[in-house]
Order: sequence, then structure tokens, then C-alpha cells
Amino acid sequence: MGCGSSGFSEEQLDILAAMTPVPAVPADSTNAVADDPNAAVLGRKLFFSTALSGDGQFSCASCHDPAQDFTDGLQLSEAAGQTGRHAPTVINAAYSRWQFWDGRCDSQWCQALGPIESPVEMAGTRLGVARAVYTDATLRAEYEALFGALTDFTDSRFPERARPAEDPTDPDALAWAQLSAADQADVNGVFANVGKAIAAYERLLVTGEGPLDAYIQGLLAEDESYRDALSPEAELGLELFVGKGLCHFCHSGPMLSNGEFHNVALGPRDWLPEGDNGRFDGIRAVRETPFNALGAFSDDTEGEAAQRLTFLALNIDAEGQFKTPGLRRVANTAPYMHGGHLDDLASVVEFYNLQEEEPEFGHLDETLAPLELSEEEAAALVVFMEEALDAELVDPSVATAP
Amino acid sequence: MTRIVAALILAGCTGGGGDTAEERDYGRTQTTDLGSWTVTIAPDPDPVPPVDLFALDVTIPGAEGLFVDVDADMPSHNHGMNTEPVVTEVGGGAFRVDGMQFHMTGDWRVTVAIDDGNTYERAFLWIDCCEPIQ
Ligand code: HEC
Ligand code: HEC
Ligand SMILES: [Cu+2]
Repeated sequence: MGCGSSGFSEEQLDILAAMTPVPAVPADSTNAVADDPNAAVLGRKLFFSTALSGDGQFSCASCHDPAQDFTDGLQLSEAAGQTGRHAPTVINAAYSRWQFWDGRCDSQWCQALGPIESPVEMAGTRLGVARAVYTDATLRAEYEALFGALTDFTDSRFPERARPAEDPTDPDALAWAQLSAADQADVNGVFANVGKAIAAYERLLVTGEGPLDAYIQGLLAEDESYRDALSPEAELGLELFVGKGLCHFCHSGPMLSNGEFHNVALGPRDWLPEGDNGRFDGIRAVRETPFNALGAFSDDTEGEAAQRLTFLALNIDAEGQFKTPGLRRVANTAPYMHGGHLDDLASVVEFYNLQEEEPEFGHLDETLAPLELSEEEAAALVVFMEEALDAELVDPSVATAP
Repeated sequence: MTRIVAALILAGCTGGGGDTAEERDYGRTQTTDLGSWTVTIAPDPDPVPPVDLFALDVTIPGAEGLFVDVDADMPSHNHGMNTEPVVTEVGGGAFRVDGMQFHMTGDWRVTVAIDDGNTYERAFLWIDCCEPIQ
């Protein structure tokens, strides 16, 4: 292992080469309309529609606000109630195999169905969603052009709200139990299709390349001006990111995430609920949801996503693990971590540098240890994330309400 | 871990990216610990893709009909894979292992265990994960 003239080892050059160029969004064969532009047009309307919520007040954008990089800037989100986790951005989420901090969905269409029915988020129901689409002339026309004719969900046999729920005495669950199996299957199908249209829209919310890409591509092409792409401080930050900081172990590839789950050992916070076991519970949930890649609503029960689910192991190691977030545009989405634990990037670097918190579940990933960074090095890592990881949206025109 | 960080600092440049501080034998053919079997592995695709699922073709001459188990871990990080691979006997001492996944950069150790009813033997094969895919 030698050191090239750049100061990066051969191995580090490989790690850098894997970060760029940014590839197209990976295909989602479980969603037949994933790349259908008409589905994205409908999905955009649905993303910003408050009609999907129980009381007509909240939409996805309530917590994923385009003006705040599709986050809400809060530690925990507020809508119909308060969530138990922090809202990540939707930008570049389409690159992620697993959705949510605990990966309890294996596609974006599965993901989109969660907040609609969560009592603390949009407090809606799947039947309410089917009715909302049916009764809005535009939504209905666009839906039917993509997925075929809708049942008349205003028929007297349908109540206004109904959904399955863990608590069988929940009024929505009682209403759901009253529906025939055929009606339930029909409503579930519409619900899944609404998720698929929203996912088609979210696939457009992606970033292009930024200073990091210019730097690495120039470096690999032995173009002498490559160093102009980053300030000296950001360059030092990059060296630390793939060197002494060992950040690349998990923050690897074009999104600076391996898309998998680790326990970085964040301790409790007084605003966080107890009992969040992260990926350990997420594995069981993704296996169980009827909206996973192997389920009846998946458009490909044999493809890659289905294979990943088939071979997925439930290890004790998964306790207290959360998904490694992508880091492109990370400077825009404070606060950080699954519970909004840390206010800014300087606090994140300090956290990794000291590594002195105790997690509620599981144990610290063995790759992590106090880094012993100097003040100058810690500051350089922050500058690296602010400067090098900035990137524009590929199509900024879609990042607004329709 | 401290040992690896120290080794990186001693290396003089910005530091290694993975954990190849020790010299390792990445040979695709190894003998089991008690010497009874010769095990050859071939990843599919080759090189192994970072974080995606891949398969391993394992050949063990003479192991027809025996119990063969395959797993992998990163000893320096003290963790295994996030998947449970499935071994299928193809015949003629060949086995197909589906559902392998290396989710981190660095050295992975594939363990191939063979049980012939009398002895339980293991072969260890190292794979450096992963070459960037261009
Ligand atoms: C009340 C606020 C709120 C609303 C409303 C909301 N979300 Fe979220 N969103 C969150 C929170 C909090 C998380 C993280 C939850 C978790 O991981 O357990 C999240 C996670 C996500 C993720 C996962 C991203 C990743 O990287 O894993 C996506 C995508 C997303 N939301 C899209 C949507 C869509 C689409 C809607 C509308 C159907 C929506 N959200 C409605 C708060 C909200
Ligand atoms: C062992 C894997 C691992 C390593 C090594 C690692 N991270 Fe992380 N990183 C994660 C995980 C997992 C999370 C989310 C943790 C959580 O919320 O519980 C995270 C979260 C973050 C976040 C917050 C992003 C957000 O949107 O909330 C930043 C910033 C970050 N890491 C930067 C770094 C830097 C800089 C380094 C190196 C000093 C580093 N990470 C090393 C796995 C890792
Ligand atoms: Cu590891």
C-alpha cells in the first residue's frame, strides 16, 4: 500500500472512486409505476395534499417541507401528535434500500403508507384515502388512467374511515372489520397504488454532483486543477473522513451511506421516548408488513428487493442499530440523528470524537472508538461536510407544491 | 481498534482506508483446519459488489452429500453479515451459496464448514471488500 502524490493511499483512492459519479436512482421493480412520469405528477399532488390526513390539516409536506430541504427542522415532528423519531429528508431517500431509521419498509411506496395512518402523523385511514382520491375529480382521473377504474367508495356500505389497527377496539379497526374481504382487498390495493404514485414523485427528489465529485473525478483523472474544487480545510476534512475518522466504513458510496444499520451509541435524551430498539424491531416489522416486496401488492416478488428480504437475518446485533443516513446536502438538515440528538455538524463530529454516550439497547459498533481529533481536524471535518457535500437538485422545479 | 488506528498513523500517509493492517492470504483456495478438504470459492459476480447481495460458488472435491455450511464475518469489527445465506448442493462437490452480503468496506472472512459425520472442519477464506464498480 503506497501513498500517491495526492497523499491518498491506493485503498483510499478506491474508496473515493466509489463515491462518484452519482448513478441514476436504482430501479424499484416492486413498483410498476416507479418511473412513470404520470405517476410522479399524481404523486406530487398526493405528497402535498392534506386530504389524505384524518382531519384535512396535514400532508407529507407538513414534516417534509421543501423550504427546509424536505425536513421540519425539529428534533421530533409535530402534526396530529408528536413522533418518536426525527424526520429525515426525502431528498435522495430513493437511493435507500431500506426506508425509515429502522428500515421497517423495503420500498418507498411501503414507506409512504405509514405516516398516513399513524395517529401521531396524518391520522388518516386507508379507506379515507380511497375516498379522497375517488371524490376529487383530478386525482380520480389521474389515478384511473394509471391503475384502472376505482370502486365508488362513497357507496353506503363504506364508512368514512377504516383501517386495520393493533388495538381491535379502535373505532377505525372496528369499521375495518365490518368490510367484506373483497372490499378490504380493494381498499388495500388503492392504498398501495397511492404509495406507488408518491414514490414515483419522490424518485425525482435527488441531487446531482457537487464539489466532492469534481475533486475526486479530477484527482482520479490526474487533472492538476482538481484541488481547486475544495478549500484546503475541506480537503483536510476529506482526508480525515476516509482516514483517521474512519467515517467511510459506514458512510461509503455515492450517497456516503452503505444503506445499512449500525449502533453509534447515542444515549437517551429527555425529549425521546424510551424503548426504541431500532433495527431489531424494524427487521420483524419489514418481514410482517403486507406491503413488503414479497407481499400481494408488490409488482415483483422475485427481484432484488424480494431477495434481500428473503435472506434478511434477525441478529441480536441489530439491537439499537439505526440506518446510516446519506450525507449529501447534510448541512441543510439539522438537527441530526434518529432522535434529533445533536444540534449541528460540529456536535456530530464532537460526538464521534469523544464517543462517550451509552446506548439504551445493544452496543457500540466495534469500528467506533474515540478519534482523538485536534480542534483543527474536527473543524475540517465540519467544513468538509458543509462545503464538499453540497449539491443542487437535479430538477429543482419539482421541489415545490404542484 | 486502537491497534488499527495506530497502524494507520505509523503508515505515514493519510492512513489506510480499510483494515488491511495485517498481511492476509486472499487466496481463493484453502485447506480446512484439519487438512481433510480443499475448498475453492468463486464469488458471483466477481468482484463482490459493495453492499449488494451476491452468491458464492464453492467447490470441495469429495464432499458430495456432506453437510456444508457457509458464513462470513469481519473479525476486526466483530460482526457478521446482515443476511442468512442458503447453501444448495449442486453435485460433484459443488455448492451454491445464495444470499451473501458484505455491507462494509474491509476484510471479510468466509468460513466454510464441512461435517462428514466424524469430523467438523472449517476453511477460512479472506475477501477484501470491495472494488469500486465503474
Ligand atoms: C408528522 C410528521 C410527518 C409526516 C406528516 C410525514 N412524515 Fe415522513 N417521516 C417523519 C419521521 C419522523 C420519519 C422517521 C420515522 C422513522 O424512521 O421511524 C419519516 C420518514 C420518512 C421517510 C424515510 C426516509 C429515509 O431515509 O428512510 C420518507 C421517504 C418519508 N418520511 C416520506 C413521507 C411521505 C411520503 C409522507 C406522506 C405520505 C410523510 N413522510 C409524512 C415525519 C413525517
Ligand atoms: C459504524 C458506522 C458509522 C461510522 C464509522 C460513522 N457513522 Fe455517521 N452515522 C452512522 C449511523 C448509523 C448514523 C445514524 C445514527 C442514529 O441516528 O442512531 C450516522 C449519522 C451521522 C450523521 C447525521 C446525519 C443525519 O442526517 O442525521 C452525520 C453528519 C454523520 N453520521 C457523520 C459521520 C462522520 C463525520 C463520521 C466519521 C467521523 C461518521 N459519521 C462515522 C454510522 C456511522
Ligand atoms: Cu465492519
